[in-house]
Amino acid sequence: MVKQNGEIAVEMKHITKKFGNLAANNDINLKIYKGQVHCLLGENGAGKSTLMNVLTGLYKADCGEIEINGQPANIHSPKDAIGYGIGMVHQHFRLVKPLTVLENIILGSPKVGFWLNNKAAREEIMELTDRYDLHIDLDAKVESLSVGEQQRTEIIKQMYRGANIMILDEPTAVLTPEEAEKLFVFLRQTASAGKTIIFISHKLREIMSVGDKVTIMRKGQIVGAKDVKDTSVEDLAGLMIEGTISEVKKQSVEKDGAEVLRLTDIYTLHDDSGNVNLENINLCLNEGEICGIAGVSGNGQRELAEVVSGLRFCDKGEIIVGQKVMTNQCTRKFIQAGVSHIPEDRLGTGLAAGLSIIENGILKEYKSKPISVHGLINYKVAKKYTEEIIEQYKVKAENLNRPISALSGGNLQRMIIGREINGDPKILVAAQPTRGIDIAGVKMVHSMIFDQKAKGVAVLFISEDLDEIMEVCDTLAVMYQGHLSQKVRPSETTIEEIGLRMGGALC
Amino acid sequence: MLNEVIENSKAPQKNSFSQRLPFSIEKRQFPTTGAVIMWSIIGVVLALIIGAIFLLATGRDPIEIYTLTFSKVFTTPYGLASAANKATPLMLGAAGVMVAAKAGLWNVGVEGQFLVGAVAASGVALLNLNVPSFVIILLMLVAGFLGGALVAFICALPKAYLKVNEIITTLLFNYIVVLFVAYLVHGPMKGAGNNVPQSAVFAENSWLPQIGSTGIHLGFIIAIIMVILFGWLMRKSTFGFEMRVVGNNPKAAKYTGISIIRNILLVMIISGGLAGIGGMMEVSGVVHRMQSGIFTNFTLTAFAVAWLARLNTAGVLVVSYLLAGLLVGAYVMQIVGMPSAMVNVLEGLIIMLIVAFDIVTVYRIKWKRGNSK
Repeated sequence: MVKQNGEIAVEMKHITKKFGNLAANNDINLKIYKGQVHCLLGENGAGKSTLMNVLTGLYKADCGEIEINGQPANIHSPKDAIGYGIGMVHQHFRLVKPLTVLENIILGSPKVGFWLNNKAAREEIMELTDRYDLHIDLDAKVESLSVGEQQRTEIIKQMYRGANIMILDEPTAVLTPEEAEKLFVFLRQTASAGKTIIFISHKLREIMSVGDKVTIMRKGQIVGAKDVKDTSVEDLAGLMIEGTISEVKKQSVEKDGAEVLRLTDIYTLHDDSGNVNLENINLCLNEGEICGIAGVSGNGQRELAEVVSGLRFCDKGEIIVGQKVMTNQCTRKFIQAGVSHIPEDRLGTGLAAGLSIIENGILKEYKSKPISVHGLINYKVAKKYTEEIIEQYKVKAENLNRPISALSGGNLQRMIIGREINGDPKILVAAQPTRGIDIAGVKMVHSMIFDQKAKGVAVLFISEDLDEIMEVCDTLAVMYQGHLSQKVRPSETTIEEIGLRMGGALC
Repeated sequence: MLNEVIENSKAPQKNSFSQRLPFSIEKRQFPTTGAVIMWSIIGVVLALIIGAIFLLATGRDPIEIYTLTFSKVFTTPYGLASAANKATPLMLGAAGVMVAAKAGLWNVGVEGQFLVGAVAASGVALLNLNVPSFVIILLMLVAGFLGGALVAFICALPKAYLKVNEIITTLLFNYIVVLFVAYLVHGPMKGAGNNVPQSAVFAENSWLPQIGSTGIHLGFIIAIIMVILFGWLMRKSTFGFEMRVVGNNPKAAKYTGISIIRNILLVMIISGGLAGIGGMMEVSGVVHRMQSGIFTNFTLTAFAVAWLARLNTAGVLVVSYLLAGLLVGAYVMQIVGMPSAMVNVLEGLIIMLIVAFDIVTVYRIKWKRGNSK
């Protein structure tokens, strides 16, 4: 199955791309051979997408060179990339939903002039789909297609444009297992026909089943390159994560506090908006425990946070907060029971951007005395309350009557954490609380969370950063496609095991 | 270092033109009140100038017409009083629009709510109850509020539970109400021995009393108080706070445990109720009977007021009076021999220009000093 290394299709030399001080790609050297399926493996944020965006002309590398088929290539725009036969199927499709499959395929193609010649295009596309066994109804509207068929439309679109090098970014993230299987068959077939496939994924089993070569990226660098036939799932998991763990801090063995949260057999059903189902979630948290939820985002972490904070109803199961059964109670009841929530999407969910800093400061407390008395808000007290948060958590804000959207990202995060902690919670749900903030900010967030732990607050700490989870948490569990693994102490597990669970190779 | 290179390579092309200008334009984070007022005035003046071109083109003297209209409306007691009476339902309608807008809703149905409020109040008046005048007027106020609130509530139900766009429901409901009112004044409500589609004149004890000999009815004062009261409640009360959170970010509302459905229904009841009281005041204070077409283009004008006032309570009071003056001016202009459509043109121009200038209020012009090279 694995061919001898032949011609080089793509060679990237010394590619470096920085965003501010962060090197998303640091001196990347990559050779991709013609007629192979080359996998790029890494966690979110490892730099896979940045590298591919450089290849497709969306980003300009700070330095480095690209050669296509052995010739130096100048790729400054996606159009240039198409010219070199590079096509990308993005994770979020670039399709016009009310148009038909045919219209989407020929849309923007350089082959189409001012006049639409559907007949010629149709024949060419039919020939393509026959050759690669990619059958699809060309006259169906895209909005009526399944996700798998939409992806097929994207693939045909790229091939019609003459893509010889096709990049697929997490193509199976949206597919059912059967659809994924079909895609793999197609990819193998296309590679055999001489096309080059670059397959981005963080799922280990997929890579083992479809790839010829695999390059593992971590924190903007390449940390390994292997022939798939010479490697194993365990190997890959290790490479993907190992070494990022600076030092596993031994947690002092704490006395187990009283139980404050128990989830029993929680199930949620699809609500058609792309949410992951939670299936059979069991979890309990004790006072003063920081429990980390690891996993690649989009595997149900947001849904879990929403269930615990009363924002999402569950279809089966039981939630107990403190001593009380809280299953499917309204959000306010959860807040009153002492559940605080730092949401993943700070400005989108946690704050009302157009309202003032003061009004956002009292967002959770506006109904309690003395901020409001007899249904009227006392803005003097509200201002004082907000000033306390701002002072204590070092939010930089000048005029508190200004809309909160004036604050910078780090300050918004401090504001929201400060507000959520200020209410003396019993349970703190922190969803990606350090994402997108600088190192000083991260340290500050961690120390805030340790303070809460010392006060006996149970913390549900959701993060994609395994380093962080290992450093901060007393216990951890891994989420994969709506399932949550058994909770363990960091000392009771190995990095390999966590990696395997994150990649879905171990259930 | 690399960034510097990029900056430098871009700089010459970008600044070749703007560097020669004696000023630069900077963006502020927020518009200042001064800038907003200044640009509003510039908008009005510009509208008058464009209007003057129309007038000149039709062979009329714009300066004469403007001064005559202005002096007739804003310097004579009759003009001032007419404007006040006209402003009364307008400020209530605009307050309705404003309250709904703060909760993120476009209540385009204030016209229908206004009419049903008027009908409900008329119903009370036509009962000819044998009770003191203030009791009747109080009952009419309540009826007006409930009438308007009912219409708005019906329109809000599909929005709250099914997420049907409220612009559609409120807009379409206007047509139902207009025809329903036409049916009433042609049929059940038509005055006896009356060939015109209108109700009998109300008994005098259901008229809103005049304030002294000014010619302004008491509704003007009540309306001002109500607008201030509800504006204040929206800002200071916990229920107003909830509504504003819902309007600003429904996700944040959900996250905080605020019921979106409850607040949509509640704010629409208040919004419609205010418009309904406007209807009550128009029939009880001015027309003294029910008829169709008591205030044409009510929705449009109320929106104009609310938006020109930038959803600010004091602004609503001032702008509704000025715009009412403009409407009264229409009659004056007709006397001077001007088509009343010209007033609509002017009104449209003013609104359009002020809204357009809204964008520039966040920019500041900074004059360059001589030493810059």
